Amino acid sequence: MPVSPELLAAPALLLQALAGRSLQVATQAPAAPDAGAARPIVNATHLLLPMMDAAMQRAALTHAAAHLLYSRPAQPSATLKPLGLAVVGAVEDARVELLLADTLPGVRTWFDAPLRQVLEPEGLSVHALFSRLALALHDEQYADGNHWVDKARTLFAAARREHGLEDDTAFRRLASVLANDLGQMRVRFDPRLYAVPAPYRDDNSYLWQHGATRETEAQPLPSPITLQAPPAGSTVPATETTMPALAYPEWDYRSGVLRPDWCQLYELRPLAAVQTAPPPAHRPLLPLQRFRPQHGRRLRRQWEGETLDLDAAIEAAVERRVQGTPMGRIFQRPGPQIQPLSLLVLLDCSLSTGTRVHEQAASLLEVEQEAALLLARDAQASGQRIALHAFCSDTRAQVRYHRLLDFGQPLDAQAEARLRAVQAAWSTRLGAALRHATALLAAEPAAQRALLVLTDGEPSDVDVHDRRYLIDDARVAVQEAARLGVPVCGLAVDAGAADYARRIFGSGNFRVAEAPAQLPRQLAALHARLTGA
Amino acid sequence: MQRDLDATDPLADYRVRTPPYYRPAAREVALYEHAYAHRLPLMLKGPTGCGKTRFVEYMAWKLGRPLVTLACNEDMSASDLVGRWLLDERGTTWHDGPLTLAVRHGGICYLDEVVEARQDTTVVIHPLTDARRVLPLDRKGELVHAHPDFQLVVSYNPGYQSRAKDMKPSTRQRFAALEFDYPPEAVETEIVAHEAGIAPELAARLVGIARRTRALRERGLDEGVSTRMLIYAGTLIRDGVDPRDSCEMTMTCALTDDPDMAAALRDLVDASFP
Repeated sequence: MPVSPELLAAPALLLQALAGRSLQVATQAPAAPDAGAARPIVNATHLLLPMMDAAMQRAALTHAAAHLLYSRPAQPSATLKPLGLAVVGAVEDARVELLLADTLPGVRTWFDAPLRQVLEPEGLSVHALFSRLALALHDEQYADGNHWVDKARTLFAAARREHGLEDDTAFRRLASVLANDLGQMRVRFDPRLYAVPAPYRDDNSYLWQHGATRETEAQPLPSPITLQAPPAGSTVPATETTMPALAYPEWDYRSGVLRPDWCQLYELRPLAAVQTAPPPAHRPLLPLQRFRPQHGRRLRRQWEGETLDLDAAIEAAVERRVQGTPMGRIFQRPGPQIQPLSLLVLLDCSLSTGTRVHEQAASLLEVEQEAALLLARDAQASGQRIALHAFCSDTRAQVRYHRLLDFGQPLDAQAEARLRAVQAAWSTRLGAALRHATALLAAEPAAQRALLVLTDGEPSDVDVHDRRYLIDDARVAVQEAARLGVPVCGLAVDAGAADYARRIFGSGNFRVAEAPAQLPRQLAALHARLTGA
Repeated sequence: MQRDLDATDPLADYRVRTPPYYRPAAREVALYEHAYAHRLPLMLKGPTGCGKTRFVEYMAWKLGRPLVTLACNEDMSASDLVGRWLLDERGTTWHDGPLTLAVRHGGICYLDEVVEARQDTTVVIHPLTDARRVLPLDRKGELVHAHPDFQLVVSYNPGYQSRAKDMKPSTRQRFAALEFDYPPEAVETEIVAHEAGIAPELAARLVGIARRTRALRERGLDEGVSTRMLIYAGTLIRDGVDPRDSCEMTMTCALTDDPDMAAALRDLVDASFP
């Protein structure tokens, strides 16, 4: 069964658990029919999987985890010919799988079936030989009989015995012996058509650095993510009025000062309902957890109630003994609800939220919109006050702030249309938006106020090149808000978010969703934290 | 040792008779002893099931002090802590609450999950936790001066409380704190093997699973598999339960309702128990 093309949540979690590192796991776009067989690709940020079933996916990400744990990435490949690279890769694949199986014996069986599936026991083509080599190194019981395969197995076992699996240089040496033998056997090898036989093994581009310069090395491989094409003829400002610019300060961590009036923020309010096409059909989101009835305070010394207030009852009994007049207020009952929460949800609508993994998949912005709508409906139904705002930025001179749903406004068709009409554009200058949202929340009467930020990545803007700058500014904005009695929580849809999200929001005040599909559930969890349910 | 033998010892029931098993992970035993020497109020913080309560039991046993434990909850009132008047055939009688008992007779009072109690309840401990070391019983009109052996210990879990339940800064400031975490891998293996009565190899494998799940905190798991869960899992396995069933029951199902997370955890268990 083909998997739905999207970011994959469960595999990303397993990969995180196995390798202790977080990569985005995504499916590759289907390959052109004339291209070679597609294999998984591992790079610094992503594991990209071709179409495969769930068991093969599991094997693929386990294999990738083994590389992440035990392989040396980006080794110079200068002295190796393509055939040599393939042999070194095959030996390395076997080595890291065995290392992982030492600690997690169950993974052996995950590799076993695919290795047997692709085995060509008789052939002498390069594909056949590599499939036999892979199984021979994986399974000691497998009898091959080919001289080269048997030699590989003997050398591998000797290296393992003498040096241990951890010593990759010993295995590199035996691989070059084997590559040399293959060359002498005149095996035909076409690097353009060759793909490692087992479909779960990645193309090993993770291992090599092909004479690349420092700059290109850091570049991730081309990913299959395509940008959401903006619908024709729709420019956002046409439907909006612009308020005068508001100036907000920004924190500069290098000099340790709050630069006054550094950012210009424009508040945009839609004039009227915006006509939009119905949202593209996609997988329905998980419903938010229903809010549990809240435990209010217990009211003591009541005239009536569900249970006796022990202290009051005893006092009443004492009164009666001393011939006094006992007070009848001896009951306790649950008090009224805790004051309603005023929650402002701040949506990041920077350009990156518009990216979609696949044409039919929902973009993050769309998932954000749906999740925010569900949250708003539930919050209003349970008597809470909620506002939905969105922001994006284009340098410090232009921070745009959309007030999609304000406190006390009904969530009607117009409001929904406004929310759905938001387009992904520009960058993420979080600090200025946070300061504005805090100022708006300060006008809310309720004693319980909170701000929830939904974002897809760390703060950035085109006029800032220091990664730390906007992160620290956002952190200062969060602390200012907390001082004003507005706690801020964050939800980041970005597997690598843990570090910067902790820095901005503080430990315990943020959640990370591996994939957009996880967002509604995490949002519900954060909301529960904010309401103290 | 007159106090141990005294049949009228009001804290007799609270004495820790048998030495509890506790495997120190770092210098916490020595640090606790220093804190106790000066009767500093202590706050133990750390994730669920990492051994905070067991540590207090062990220290109470080691120091030979009775241990009065109170699990805090939202409905707990100050009377539940300090005591109240009750009626009997002779009239009204004052009954000391557990905190007062410990204060009067020199025990260690342990308030487990102290943030679960409402903030206005916890303020009754304020005069006990500074230089005064007194507990005013306003309903009785008595000022109890703390017994020289009395010490207050509270625990809380910084991980999962909701925002409404953080500790007041004025309460927090009164405590010295010891931070707990799951013990290092080798120590945790030793603990699980001892407590569950299983072979060290099996314990090491269970610990391996737990350490990997702890990497999933903030990614959908509030907390990873705790040492206590591992002991449960090991106990069932020792009883003859299939390891995978045991892990499913004590870890996967217990930790999460999320299908994606459950699938990942299940695969992780399969990887460890072929």
